[in-house]
Amino acid sequence: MSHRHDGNEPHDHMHHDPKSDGVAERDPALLPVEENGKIYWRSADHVAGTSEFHEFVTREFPQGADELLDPVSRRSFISLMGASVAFAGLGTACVRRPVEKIIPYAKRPEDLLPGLPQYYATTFNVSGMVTGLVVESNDGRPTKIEGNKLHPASAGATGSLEQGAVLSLYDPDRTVRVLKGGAESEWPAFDADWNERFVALRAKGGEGLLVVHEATRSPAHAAMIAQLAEALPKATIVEWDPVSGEQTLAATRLAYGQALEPVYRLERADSIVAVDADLLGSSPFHLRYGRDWASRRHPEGPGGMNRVWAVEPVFTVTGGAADHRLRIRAGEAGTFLRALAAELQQRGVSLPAGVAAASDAFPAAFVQTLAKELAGKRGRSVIAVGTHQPAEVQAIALALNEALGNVGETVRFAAAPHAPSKSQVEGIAAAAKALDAGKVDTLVILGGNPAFDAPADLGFGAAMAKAKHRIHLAEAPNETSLLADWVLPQTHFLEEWGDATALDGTYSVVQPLIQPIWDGRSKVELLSQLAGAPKKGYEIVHGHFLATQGGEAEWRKALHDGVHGGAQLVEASFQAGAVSAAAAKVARPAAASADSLDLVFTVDHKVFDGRFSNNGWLQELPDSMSKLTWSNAAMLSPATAKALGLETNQMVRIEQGGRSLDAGVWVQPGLADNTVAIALGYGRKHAGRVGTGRGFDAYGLRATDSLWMASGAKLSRIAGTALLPTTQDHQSMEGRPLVREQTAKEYAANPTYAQTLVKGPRSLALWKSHEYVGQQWGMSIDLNSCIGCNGCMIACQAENNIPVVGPEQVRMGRQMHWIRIDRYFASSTDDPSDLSEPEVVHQPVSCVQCEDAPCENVCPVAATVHSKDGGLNDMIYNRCIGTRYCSNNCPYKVRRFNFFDWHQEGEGALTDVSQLRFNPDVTVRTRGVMEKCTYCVQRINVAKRDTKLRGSEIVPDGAIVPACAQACPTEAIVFGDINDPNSRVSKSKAQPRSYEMLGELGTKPRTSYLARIRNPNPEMVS
Amino acid sequence: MAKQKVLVAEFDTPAEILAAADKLREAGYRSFDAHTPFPVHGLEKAMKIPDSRLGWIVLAHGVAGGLGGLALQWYANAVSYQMTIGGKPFFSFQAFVPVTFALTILLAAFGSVFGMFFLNGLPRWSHPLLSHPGFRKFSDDKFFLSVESRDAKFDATRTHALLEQIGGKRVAMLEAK
Amino acid sequence: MSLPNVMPETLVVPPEAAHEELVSGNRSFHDITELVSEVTERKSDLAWYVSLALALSVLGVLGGSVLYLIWAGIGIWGLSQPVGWGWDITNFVFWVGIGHAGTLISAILFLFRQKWRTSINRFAEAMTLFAVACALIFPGIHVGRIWMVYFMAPLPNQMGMWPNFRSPLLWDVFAVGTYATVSLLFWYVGLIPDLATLRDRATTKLRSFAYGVLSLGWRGSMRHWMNYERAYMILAGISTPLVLSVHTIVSFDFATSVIPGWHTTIFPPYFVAGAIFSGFAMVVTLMVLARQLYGMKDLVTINHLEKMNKIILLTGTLVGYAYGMEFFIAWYSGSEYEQYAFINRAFGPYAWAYWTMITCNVLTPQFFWFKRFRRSIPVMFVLSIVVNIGMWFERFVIIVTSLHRDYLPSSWGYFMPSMWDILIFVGSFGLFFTLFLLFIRFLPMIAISEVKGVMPQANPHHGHEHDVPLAAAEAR
Repeated sequence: MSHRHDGNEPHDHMHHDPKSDGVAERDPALLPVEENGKIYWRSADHVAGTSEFHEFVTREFPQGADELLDPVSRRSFISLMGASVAFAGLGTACVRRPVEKIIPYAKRPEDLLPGLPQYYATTFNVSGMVTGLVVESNDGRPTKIEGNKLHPASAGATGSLEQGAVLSLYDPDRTVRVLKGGAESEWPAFDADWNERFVALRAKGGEGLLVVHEATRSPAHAAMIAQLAEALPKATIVEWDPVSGEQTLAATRLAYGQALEPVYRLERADSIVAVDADLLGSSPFHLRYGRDWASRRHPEGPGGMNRVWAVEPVFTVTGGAADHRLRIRAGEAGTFLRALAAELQQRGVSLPAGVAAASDAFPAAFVQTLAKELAGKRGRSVIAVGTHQPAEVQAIALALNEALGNVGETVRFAAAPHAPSKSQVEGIAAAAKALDAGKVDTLVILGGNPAFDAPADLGFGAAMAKAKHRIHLAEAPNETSLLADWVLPQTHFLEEWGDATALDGTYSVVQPLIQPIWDGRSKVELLSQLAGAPKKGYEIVHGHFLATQGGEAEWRKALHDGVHGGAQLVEASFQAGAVSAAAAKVARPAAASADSLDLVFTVDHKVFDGRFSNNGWLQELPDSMSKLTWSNAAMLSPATAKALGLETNQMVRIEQGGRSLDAGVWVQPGLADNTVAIALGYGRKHAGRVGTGRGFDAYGLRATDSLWMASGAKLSRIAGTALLPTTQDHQSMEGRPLVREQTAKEYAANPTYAQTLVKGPRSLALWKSHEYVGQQWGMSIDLNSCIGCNGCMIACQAENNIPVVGPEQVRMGRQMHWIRIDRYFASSTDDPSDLSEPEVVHQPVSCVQCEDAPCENVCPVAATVHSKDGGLNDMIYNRCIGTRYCSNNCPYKVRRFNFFDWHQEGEGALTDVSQLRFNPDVTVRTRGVMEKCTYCVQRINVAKRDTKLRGSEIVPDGAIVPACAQACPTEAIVFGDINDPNSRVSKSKAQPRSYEMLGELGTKPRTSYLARIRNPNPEMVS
Repeated sequence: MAKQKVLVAEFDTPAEILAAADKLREAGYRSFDAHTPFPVHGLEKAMKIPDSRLGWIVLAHGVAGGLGGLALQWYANAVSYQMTIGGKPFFSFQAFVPVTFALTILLAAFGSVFGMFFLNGLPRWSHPLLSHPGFRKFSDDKFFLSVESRDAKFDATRTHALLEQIGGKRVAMLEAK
Repeated sequence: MSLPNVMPETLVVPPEAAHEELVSGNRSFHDITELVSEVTERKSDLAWYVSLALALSVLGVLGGSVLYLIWAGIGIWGLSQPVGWGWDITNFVFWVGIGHAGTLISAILFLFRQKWRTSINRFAEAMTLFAVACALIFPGIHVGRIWMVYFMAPLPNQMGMWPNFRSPLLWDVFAVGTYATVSLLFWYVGLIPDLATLRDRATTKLRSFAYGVLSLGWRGSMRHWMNYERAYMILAGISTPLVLSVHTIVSFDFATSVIPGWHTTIFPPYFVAGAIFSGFAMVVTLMVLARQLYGMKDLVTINHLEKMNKIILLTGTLVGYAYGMEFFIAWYSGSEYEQYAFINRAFGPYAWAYWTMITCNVLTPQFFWFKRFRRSIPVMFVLSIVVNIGMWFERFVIIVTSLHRDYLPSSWGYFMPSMWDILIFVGSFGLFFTLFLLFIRFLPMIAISEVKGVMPQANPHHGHEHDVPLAAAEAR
């Protein structure tokens, strides 16, 4: 976008002309989607004819207006496209355009070529999770998010939350305008209102002002907070985030006297001990950790395989990838670490006094073998504890790492300048008290949803109502907005300027991909306004960069690279005494039983703390372990469910500490016994058309003294069934050789074992097959690296315009994911039906592109045929008549059928805004058509085109990366030319542990799998 | 030519008409016909009716159907638009057998039905015989002999007498309109 | 097994049966004409109108449901991943199966000189046509984009695309299409002389015109009869392989796939046997009703029905054998997927359907070992209905239980029919019975000229010393 480089003509990006023609008489509901198209226009300035069009429909037939604007009517679609082009700076001269400089990340064209996507670096920054991104923009529409290779947290990968962000940007239920008391208003009205309030507040030094903001790792944000505190010293500013990692900061304060973030180097660790820590699944660095962990999972790789010991109450992604897994109660993490310390001490590891304490709560073999291994691997192990565990427990882990010499080797520390001075819980509690006492005149809530997610015992919502003035800056109206008198549209991170520091302190920039669709303001912008000095996001961030990071040149480079400077690591001295004292206090909790259960709160991988509830992609994403979609559940271990006489889908009442919650039961192998685990973030009452009323509100049980775990919970069966929607009903592999595995030892002895596991006779072709010459595409998936994190599934959904079908349809088995992750439980004991100590395997399955494809033979109209060049199993959507015969005859069941027009009906229903998310290179399928994975054929063709333009015929290896492979944090998916013996995929397929699933059917699949190799401690294998 | 005339005589049983037909033939008549509610065994010999040529028509149609069907599939899948399907050859004849077979049968059936209509000169909705009130009983329980004027030995009075003599009842002369 | 080989033992009339009167009550030619034509000429009774009204309203259900299906999409059915076919194809196979009896009786029994067929073949052929008409609905409406269904026809088009002649579904289109056409021709050719009869008896202008046109000016000429009988024999000749091929090809839909429980070489003979089984059962059901209602006990004698029941017994036992053989082969194949498919069939979630099928199809026909039951109208009426219930379940079991659990346990599911699955199936009976009621009202439901032809007095040498009993038949 060349025009973005032509200087800084002064331009106000925040105050728009308030003409609201034809809007006023419309229904002023909080979710006025009808007007989307309309308001949307104004921010783009007069796109030809739009407002007349709107006037026309509103005057002619007010009822019909909605229908005319809301669905994809040709007119509104075309005008919308016009607007999005306008954003891209291609519109007429009068188009309002961002004047800030944005520099393309990679492919910077001389000028924008319509149809050619551009890529910009930005940063995903949600409550402590900071991921560097590269976002694809098509004619001004951000459509696809990828990881930024230069960013430490991403290393080129993305998780499902990052991938889903595009859908949230175009969410029709966002705050589309300023609302005052639920009625439509405009920014100038608010500005005027605030200005007089500010004068009043400043007179009292800010007394009576309460500002609640979310946790963030943005330096600019911190600076603005400081500025506000300076301007209004008596104002109360609290940070509240329901899933913050502040316990870790407390732990480091305890052990090192300062707030630090532990950063692990898993690629250097031979032994990884994860104590209730989901390093690979949900830690802020999980993508990076996944990459590093996977780099040590190749049996033939340098340094040999690492070994993961998971000790946890709930089945996490890390637990699934572990070589040894021990189920413990959430409250026993500290006990375990002390027991481990005791064993280590016996093996000559010197620890601060009082840390070690033997315990018989755990299998001796496990603890002893682990201790022996760790003692033998000093400096080459990592002991990690979940960030939600109490500070003392985490401190013990730090002590162990110190004692084993890991600190400085595999465990390092980054500064945490963003760390709030006082505890969040105390902060929010004090705030609630002040509100309740009526001491608060003006309450400003920046983002977040405290009325929904603050500890239940604070009654924040009720207290909030007592503030005279309540202002909520919200991306989408939520439970808190309902209680506010001013609701202000907040920008999505793809619309705003900002910055963030990764877990290891690396600085990265947040730069907008599109002008604020709903004329929103970012948090820093509003903060500057609260401080009485309104500034634009660009000025704030740019200014703060120049003040703290570097000059104009660095700024431009930072915009281009997305990152600036490196990790900010610090040396810190361990304070053994403090830790000894704290550790001694860690005692084993009272025993739990079926009528006094441990209650454990977990962070959901999809809706997170609830903020992504209205995101259909994330809602429909099956959970890694339970394969549950659209809902959370009261998770029980099989034994506990049996003891309580409960079954999956039954409704129960959970009672704890005088609070209760009705939820559906889900029997989940791998859970600790006498534990009920429930994910936070569901049960939203006001989330929007997709998220409202999904699942059960666990916050209702969560109190200040039991943020993450509580004991003494009771479960009682109540009437009703929950019908929890899952994408996989059957958990056992039925002894079939689908996922094939070996231990490292067995592999060394018999590497080709996996290929020999074929049951039954092998079918042969009666004919001579076609020759596949030239470049032929194939895929190899390493089941040893796949951790089942779902990154590939949602990346595929975003790339291929895959619709969302909704919970009822999922229950019928009609989900549309082109790539799914099959999850099987296997018993670790001799009895295959005993899932008390389950092992889990994940297997990503998408169309394997059979050369002799059963689906092709049976299609009467030749709607699925093989491509000569590339050898793909193509789907011809406009030829398909929908007999579903191909799906019936597909042994892999990877074909997906459009039983309805998902884009028009149900949860996925489009609006004129949400349709902007589509990838223009992929057909949007209609009703009655079969669809399936095509190895992202659109990307293949782009690569071929570019190769031809460069005058070459052979697409270089690695030039084509399917969406799933690109997102994968562990690089488990390798794609390329199988006719080129030197391509990565050929090398992967050449490994002895490479095998074809169901190859015995004679389908000749192009996708093959690498057998999973477990690496248990030989002494543990009886 | 002169106006077509037909002499028609009625009989009661298959036996009678068979005997009468024998006598007519012996009397040298050739272009005479019998009209019966169902085919009477033996009449064809008595009347010296040549064997039906329908078989050949059917054979021709059947062969056309088979070859045509195979040709269609060969052209469609192996020539006009070559598509790699299930890794099978473009002309995978094994898979083309069922359609070939079906089309063979279909055309053979057309041949036999429409061939029969052709040989019998059907449909023919107007015929002198059908205008004769008594004749309508041929489709119930009566048996008729008809002698046409184009027969060499046809003579209104003598043939009339002969028909009555061989047991024909209600002998009548019909004229084409 | 192939049908013709087993026919002789069961179907060639034993010596004493040869003397059995095929037409009892010492009737004359005229009586036959009266008996059959009269039905189409007299004012039909209230019962007929009531039944027609009933049938039409059920047909209305079909029409309504299909319209809604096209409007809303096949998502309204219970289908899912992995069960892509449910009641739609089950009903298709069910009706096609029933549609086998008519042509089989007309063609194969004709070639085997089974004189007893004469009084039931017209009836059975009509039933065939109507059943095939019902069957043809389902391939049409089961597709996701009904308005594009013409893609299946090999028509030159702007896309330059041709259908894929390797697809069993396309084979179906040709096989069933041919079968419907040939059956219709066969039926019509048989009707011509009788239409002439109705024409000649016509009292109203309308009837004489309508039947006149339809009977093509037939005047019973001996020369015409010669070509006519040749045509009829050739049709019978080519229909015989056809009738055997139709269900063979329908079975290819499953046999040529890779799905355990479908991929079975025994399917063609097994399906054909099942088709005859259900077809004959349906004929018995309807015959019993018709002869009761229209006083044709002299034409459709208990002997006819007993012979039908014998065939039901035979084919039922063949089907039972096939069920057993499937299990043996599954075990013998050594393929664990095959083995699981069949164990799952008998003991899995759909065991109820499987055992219903076994009870109805294998056990009930065994009653026909006893002459008493073979010749008992109420018994055969009930059993013939039970048999068709069983045969519907056979198709359901084959299609759904094989699909719902195939190779990857991750993709297993369970199929539940929706209201619309049920309404459309029920509605198809509306179409069937509507056509049937119109048939018995306006067309001779028994082949008049054929029956006359097999009566003793039809033989010119009748009254002279009795010669070969099958003479009349041999004349053909």
